[in-house]
Formats: sequence, C-alpha cells, structure tokens
Amino acid sequence: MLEIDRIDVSYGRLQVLFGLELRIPAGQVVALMGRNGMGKTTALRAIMGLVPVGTGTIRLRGADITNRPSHRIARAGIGLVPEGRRIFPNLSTRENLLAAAANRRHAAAPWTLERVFDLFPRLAERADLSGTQLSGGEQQMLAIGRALMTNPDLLILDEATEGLAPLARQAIWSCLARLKAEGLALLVVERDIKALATLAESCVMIEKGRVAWTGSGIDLAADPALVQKYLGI
Amino acid sequence: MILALEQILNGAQLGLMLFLLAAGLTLVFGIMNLVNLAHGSLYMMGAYFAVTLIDWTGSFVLGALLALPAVLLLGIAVEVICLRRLYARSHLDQLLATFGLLLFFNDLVLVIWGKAGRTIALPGWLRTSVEILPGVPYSAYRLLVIAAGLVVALGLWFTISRTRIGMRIRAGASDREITGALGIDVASLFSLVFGVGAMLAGLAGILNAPILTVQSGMGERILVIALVVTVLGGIGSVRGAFVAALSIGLLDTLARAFLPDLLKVVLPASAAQTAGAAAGSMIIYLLMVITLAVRPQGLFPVRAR
Repeated sequence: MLEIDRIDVSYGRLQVLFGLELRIPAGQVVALMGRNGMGKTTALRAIMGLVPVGTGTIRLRGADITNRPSHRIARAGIGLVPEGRRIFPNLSTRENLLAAAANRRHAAAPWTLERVFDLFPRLAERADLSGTQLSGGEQQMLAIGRALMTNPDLLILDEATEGLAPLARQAIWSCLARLKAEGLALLVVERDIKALATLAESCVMIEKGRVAWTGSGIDLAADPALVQKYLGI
Repeated sequence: MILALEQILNGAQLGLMLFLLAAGLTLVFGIMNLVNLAHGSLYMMGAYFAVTLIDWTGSFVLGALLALPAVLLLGIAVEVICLRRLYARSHLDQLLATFGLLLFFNDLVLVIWGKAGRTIALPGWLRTSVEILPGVPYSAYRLLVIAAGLVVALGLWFTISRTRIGMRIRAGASDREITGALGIDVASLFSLVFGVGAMLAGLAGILNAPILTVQSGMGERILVIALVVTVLGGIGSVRGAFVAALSIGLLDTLARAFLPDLLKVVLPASAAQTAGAAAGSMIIYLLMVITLAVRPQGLFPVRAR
C-alpha cells in the first residue's frame, strides 16, 4: 500500500536518509528499528510530508505523495501517532479526539467517539479532562484514538510504548493487535523485540540512513547476534 | 461613587475594544507565529470605511454594517498578498514588513481621505443618554458599544470553545505541525482566522469612530496596548486576551481617573496631579512587567509544555 523508493532526506547539509526503501503491504505490520539517530523518525516525518524529500518517491496506493502538504497526505489515509504523543494541551480529551475527526474516504464502519471510547474505556472516564491531566499511558491511548478518528488505513506510530509502565505498554500492544486484526496497516518505530515477534510481518533495521537488514519479527527474535549488532541490546 | 460607576463603564468599553483587537492579534501570533504590527491599520481602515460608507448610504447603521465585510476582504487580501510570505521568516523580518504595511496604510488614508481628521455624526437616537441608575445618565452610544463588544466576545467565545472549527483553531495554536499532520489545512484555516481577526479589529475602529477623531496613525496607540494585552493573556489564548483586555481597560481608565486624587493624600496637589497622570499611563506596562516576571508565558499559556 505504501511504497518508499530510494528517498534521500537532508537537514541542510546534513544528509540523514540515503536511498531508503520500504514497502508496507495493506493490512500488514512493519517495524522500523535501529539505534537512536539512525533516521527512523526522519523516515516517518518524510512520509508525512513534515521534512522535504530530496530525491526518490513515496507512493500511497500507487499515488505519488512525495512532498505533498502534510494535511493532504493525512487526508489520503495516513494517521500519525507522533513521538512524544503531542496531545493538544489546551483541548479536552473529547476535543482532542473530535478536532480532526473525519471520514473523508467513506469507510464503511468509521471510527467514532463511541468506538474509540470502547477501545479505550479509560478515555471515556476522562473525556472532559484536559489532555495534560492524563497519565502517560492515557495520553498514548489518546494520541492513537486521535489518529484513528481521521479513519486512516495506515497508522504510523513513533515510539508508542516509550517510557510507559509495563501495564500501559501491554495495553498499547493489545490495542495494536486488535487494530491489525481489523485490517489496519501499521508502521511502527519500536524496540520491543518480543512484542514485535508476534505482531510484525517484517522488521526493517536502519543504520546510518540505509536499510541494513530486513526480516520477520520471528527471525529477529531468534537471532541475538543481530539484535546486538544493530540495536546494541 | 457615581463617577466611579461611569469610569468602570468607560474602562469596560476600552477593555472590550482592546479585546476586539487582541483576539485577532493573539490568534495570528499563536497559530502562524506572526507578529503583525499592521493590525492597528485594519482598525484604522475600519473607521475610514465607516466614514465613507456612512457618507454614501446616509445611514449610520447601514454604513457601519457594510464596513465590516469591507475590512474582512481587506484583511484576507493583505494575508494572501503579503503576510503569507512572512510566516517562515524571522520575527525581525516580520516586524519590518508589517511596519512597512503600517506606514503604507497611514499614507494611503492621507492620499484618499486627506490630512484633516474626520468625524462621524451619530444619529439622534444614539446621541441621547440613558439613566443607568436613578440620577446617573450615561451615553446611549457608549452603552451600545459595550453591548456590541460583549455580544461579539460571547460569540467568539462560543465559536472558539464550543464548535469544531474552534477546536481546530485551538489545536493549530498549540501545535501547528501535528494539526496539519492530522489532515487539517492550517493555511486555509489561518486565512479565515486572519480575515475574521481583521474584521474584529475593523469593528473596534468602526465603533470608536464616532467617539474619536478618525485620522492617520490612530491605530498605533491602541495597537501597542493590544500587544500588551496579547502578551499578558498568553499568546494564542482568546480567553487570556479577554481577561487581560478587560483588566487593562479597567486599570488604565481607573488609574488615570483616580490616581491623581489618591496621590493628593500624600503629595502636594500639583505634584500629585503630575505624578498621578504619569503613573496612570505607566500602570499597565508595570502590570505587564510584573506578570511576565511571575508568569513569563502569560496568564493562560496555550503551549503548556
């Protein structure tokens, strides 16, 4: 569904991505992995149109979305759950969910406030609280719900379980499994190899802005040397 | 006591006019990170449009109402032709460019309307006064201005806090990038916000036109105070702008009215008069300095990070 063809991305004179290639088939889960500063977040930002792509193309369902304004890319069906969650602090939980809600591509069973509250009952209890009054885990649920309300068919999650308590991590992972079961494609930046082994069809290791290794989550979990080499853990 | 009530109403009126200016200013600054020194020019253009349109139509109400869409269109034109190019530039570039716009509009009105200040005559039914308390008359027009200011403030509050478009405006003010990445066209949203902000500034100019003299440069003094309101309320916060505008309107008016008399208790009469007048005009800046020292983000910060 999403095809990234040999993209280069630079911040000024500093080149971060070198001919990066990535494929995300419809309904599949792809994990982007690698140490900090290897270009994972930059790759996600390039897909969303938040950093300019130098050369190369990004296609969504065959349509070229390279360097389109980010609101057009989002409207084409990509939902972003950004690093650090970035909840709107001056909006309530309910407003965070409603502000960008839309069903532009006429999904048959669109995400609604009720469905998001059903997925995350905690958010329903906190509907009228400001986004900043939520716990880290709840904020993460809110960021996911906010992206779902735009009814994407690809959800991008940048470090969605980073810094969360074990219980909250578990809640996010089971939510992602449920979303996958509903047919949503996921692109995740993650380092939890155990969780990825059961969820991700493909894991892509990035080193210095290039794809260094690609394989399934199961392959990765079975090869500690590989994990040591690319992630240092 | 009677004088105090009058001065409180005068202060509320100034506060509401400041709010009309600051509402647009704070959203423009909050969402697009643009410092717009030409916002006072839109206030002035509102007043001049009203002068001409009231002249043409022969009706105060009709002319004033027609001046509103005129300022709205002017605002959108200024945004599309000029300001849109400045968002990504530094604040210094923005200050220079919008200061240029300010000078341009000040000269433009001299060319079109001439050097002499213009006044607007109120229709008879607005020139009367109303007894707000037994034995206390107050200008009917000033009451109308306060009422109009309150209605607009209420409408704006409702739009910003209760509607979908208001949520988007607030979201855009707190995190423009993520708002865009969620599918909202922030640039178009902003053109609309800028146009409405211009119209509100114009409305303040229109409402003030019969009270003040309409002249080139009339926007500057009120712009400076509106900037103080914006900073004090928290950049991007309409609620903050409302609270700060009313506080500053009341404080400024009451300090100018009563400080000289208060100081007479401790100072000789002539010294109290001078010191009181000076302190009266300084007091809002003093308030700004103190508030910023304690709460650098303003009273209602939008970016709570």
